[in-house]
Amino acid sequence: MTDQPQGIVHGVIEELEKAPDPPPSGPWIWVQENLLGGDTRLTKFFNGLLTVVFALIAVNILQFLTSYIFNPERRWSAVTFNMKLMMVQAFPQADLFRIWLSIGIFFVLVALSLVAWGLRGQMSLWTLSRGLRNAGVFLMLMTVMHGAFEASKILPIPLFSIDSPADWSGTRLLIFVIGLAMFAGAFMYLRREGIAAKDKSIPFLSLIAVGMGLVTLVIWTIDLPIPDGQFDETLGPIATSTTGPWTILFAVAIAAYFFGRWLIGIVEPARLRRWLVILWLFSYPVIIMVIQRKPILEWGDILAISKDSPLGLFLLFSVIGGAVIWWLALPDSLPVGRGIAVAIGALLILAGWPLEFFFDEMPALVGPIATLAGVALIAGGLMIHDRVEIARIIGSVLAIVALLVWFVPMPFLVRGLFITFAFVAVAAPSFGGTAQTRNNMVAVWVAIVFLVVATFVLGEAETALEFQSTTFLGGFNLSILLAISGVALSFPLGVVLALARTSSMPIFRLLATAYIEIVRSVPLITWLFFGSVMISLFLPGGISFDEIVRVVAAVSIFNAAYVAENIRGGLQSINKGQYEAGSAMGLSTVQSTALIIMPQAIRAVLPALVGSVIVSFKDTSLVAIIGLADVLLIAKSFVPGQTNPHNFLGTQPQMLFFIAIFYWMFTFTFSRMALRYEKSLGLGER
Amino acid sequence: MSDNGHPMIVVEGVKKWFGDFQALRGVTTTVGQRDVVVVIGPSGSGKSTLIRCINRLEVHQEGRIAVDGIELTNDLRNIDAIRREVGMVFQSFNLFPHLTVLENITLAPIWVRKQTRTESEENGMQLLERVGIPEQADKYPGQLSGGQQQRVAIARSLAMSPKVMLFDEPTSALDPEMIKEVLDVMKELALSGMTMIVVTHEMGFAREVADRVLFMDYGTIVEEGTPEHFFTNPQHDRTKLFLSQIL
Ligand SMILES: Nc1ncnc2c1ncn2[C@@H]1O[C@H](COP(=O)(O)OP(=O)(O)OP(=O)(O)O)[C@@H](O)[C@H]1O
Ligand SMILES: [Mg+2]
Repeated sequence: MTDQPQGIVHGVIEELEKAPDPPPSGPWIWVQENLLGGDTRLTKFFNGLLTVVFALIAVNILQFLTSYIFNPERRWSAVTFNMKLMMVQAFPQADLFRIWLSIGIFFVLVALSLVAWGLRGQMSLWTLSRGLRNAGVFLMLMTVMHGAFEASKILPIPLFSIDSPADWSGTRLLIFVIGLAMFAGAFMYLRREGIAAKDKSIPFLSLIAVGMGLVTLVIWTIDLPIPDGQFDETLGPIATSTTGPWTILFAVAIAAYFFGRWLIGIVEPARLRRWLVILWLFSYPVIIMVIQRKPILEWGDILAISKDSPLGLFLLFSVIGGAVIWWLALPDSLPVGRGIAVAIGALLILAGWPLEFFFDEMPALVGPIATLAGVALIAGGLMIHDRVEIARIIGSVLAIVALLVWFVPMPFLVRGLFITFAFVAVAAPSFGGTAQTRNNMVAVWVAIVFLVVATFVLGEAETALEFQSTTFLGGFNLSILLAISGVALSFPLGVVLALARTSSMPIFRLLATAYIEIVRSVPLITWLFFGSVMISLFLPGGISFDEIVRVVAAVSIFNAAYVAENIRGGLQSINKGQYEAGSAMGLSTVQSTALIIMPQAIRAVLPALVGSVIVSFKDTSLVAIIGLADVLLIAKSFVPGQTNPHNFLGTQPQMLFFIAIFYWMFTFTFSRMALRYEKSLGLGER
Repeated sequence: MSDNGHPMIVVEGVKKWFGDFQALRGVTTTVGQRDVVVVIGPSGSGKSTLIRCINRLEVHQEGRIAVDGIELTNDLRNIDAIRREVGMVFQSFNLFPHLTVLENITLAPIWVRKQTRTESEENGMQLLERVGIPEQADKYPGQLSGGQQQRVAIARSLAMSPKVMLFDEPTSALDPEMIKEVLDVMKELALSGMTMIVVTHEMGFAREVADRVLFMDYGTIVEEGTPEHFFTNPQHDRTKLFLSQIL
């Protein structure tokens, strides 16, 4: 015992050993592992049984689908014939290029953004060929399934006989051959390369390009069912008025991509991105309000320099407002004298000639309000030397004025400009500072004034389109509009609500909580009815909005509550240390929130936000209830209601089937893209 | 030790309550310019609370704190001014996970000091070189080891060119082999003349770098002195007990 050594030296093993061989593989092993599972014979037996039963069920579902789709009783010509109706409803034929132009703008922006954000995702050939292999098997199964009526005689299982086979042998054979080719090609490739295929990859973008090429090829060659007489249908090619534009659009998208590649060689990527963001923001209102709506603009009225002409207001607000914002974004601290000067200046702006200028006869309330605001500003100017606080005072006084004058007849545009000015003025000291950011702030302000004024002018204008409906928007075009506007407007509102609900100020918490709890507890349909019928009752006299605008407002108000709750979840998940690190470095609360907390909170709840975007996209179909002709209403009622020149009575189920697949295509693509984005974010995180 | 007359940090009779619980019971001390002060003491003795009061992450109720002649009052401008002078390094790094290392460092210079992006990036790269990890500039914090993250956190604080650095147990979340790399950076910083208050249990660091050691317990400074005094000749019973447990 005593001469037991105190320690033992094991040394270091120098040479590397080869990893043990991978376990044997092969079809039988695969079957054992994946289909049978389990360790004992008994479990293998039961698991095998389960596999067989559920495989039968899956096959049966597949067969139901194929025999439903390929059944000669299905009149798919109802879909092909009414495609335009479902997409854009009453949009006049002669102006259809406006729709194509809109899609073209979208494609170009997507292509340029792919370049600018360097989305060079790769897909490994392994994943790709496995996908192709499985898709090939699926296609072959589908065609074989289709003949399952005969098969059911060989396999006497009742599950298999659902529908009679159609005589679509030519198409069926073609699909089978394509499936076989996909399967065989991918299978051989995988056989040859094995695991090595995992290391080879092709760019995602070239896949998209190949996909677009294939689609072009298909739409030019495929024959689809078209109506023939009142009740029959035959096969025919797709009209060149459809295939032509799509081909051009694909070509334009690819050209735009290469243009972007060239552009990024001569322009800084960051600058290109900034411009693209601006283009994206502008593109949407331009598409809806200018390109698609074809407004009649009275340039004489717009460009007149007067107290209520759009140009006059634009100049007034961008010059005076721009000067105030420029001043607020100055870096050095503020001498008291200048503070007072500004306070008096602001007082003059508020109470002096502009108000007289805006009103024909001064309403009773305006005078006292302006005086009060002026007094508050002077007091503020005397007591407070800090730019941030001055900005807050100006901002909140303007906001209060703008809200109070809600009850005073004041041009809606002026009120909107006051409120936006309040916001920008409050943000200016936090995000200004250097010469560059200061100029940016002013530029942003001028752009906002322009946007607000332009939106207002365009909204007021009559449309030159000739259509037989209450609005030029209809079909899928309307659904897209509602979805995008709903998300775009509810997002900022939701962020503000979430911040208010987690704020330390009880009044904000109370208001936000009340808003969220009330809005969420009432069904969306109620809000839609409210928007379509009742909002006008709550607006000051003389203001009315288009029905679409009211519906967009209702949808946004509703979505904002959900967005707010999601983001609140994100805010709660942020470590207190993040706030502390921000304030320890001297960032203000606004800056910490905008630069540190909010980006993380949104990332943390991205899956939930994607979910609510998808839900709100699908929920746009509810507008059918208040009589707006969205794609679902058209497919469900308009199409099956036609009897002349083609009779589509009784096609309702298949139209709904089509709509289900149509919606699925969009939401599935979106959720997949969001998933990729989430993954790309996750790479750098935590 | 003073360069221009006044001490860097003055703490006078600071008292701090969390609800009914008194975390600081009247702390008084002075930190001269270029001084390195190490604060030790058992858990819950108020070390973190003290240094968090110095840059207003906690608000003290009684007493007075002044940094570089600026009184810490409720005036927002004074608080901002003090936070600009005081850098802080946390036990849990608190890097911003959604920003790259370089963006972490340049964020405050751009938005608080209103530097241009190029200027702040150049400065940021120099700081990364100083803490020895320039090659990590474009990575995200989650991709770095703990020691590297803490060095980024130090560089991030230094980017605001503070006059004082506060460290709250900067190495206690780190594996032993990473502690040294962080301590080396801190030593270099101390030698370059930075005024520092360091809460730490690294007695080697205290012995080597500290000008003065404070021993805190029950929300008070029980004993203070040079490292030699502490490690050879501690006076108070609590100090002796604590040191005997920790050494
Ligand atoms: N936010 C708070 N609310 C309530 N009590 C707190 C809070 N922060 C700290 N305390 C209490 O104050 C006392 C001092 O805490 P402090 O964090 O300063 O201790 P410490 O010396 O840093 O200890 P450690 O070595 O564990 O970090 C502890 O008893 C703690 O429980
Ligand atoms: Mg502590």
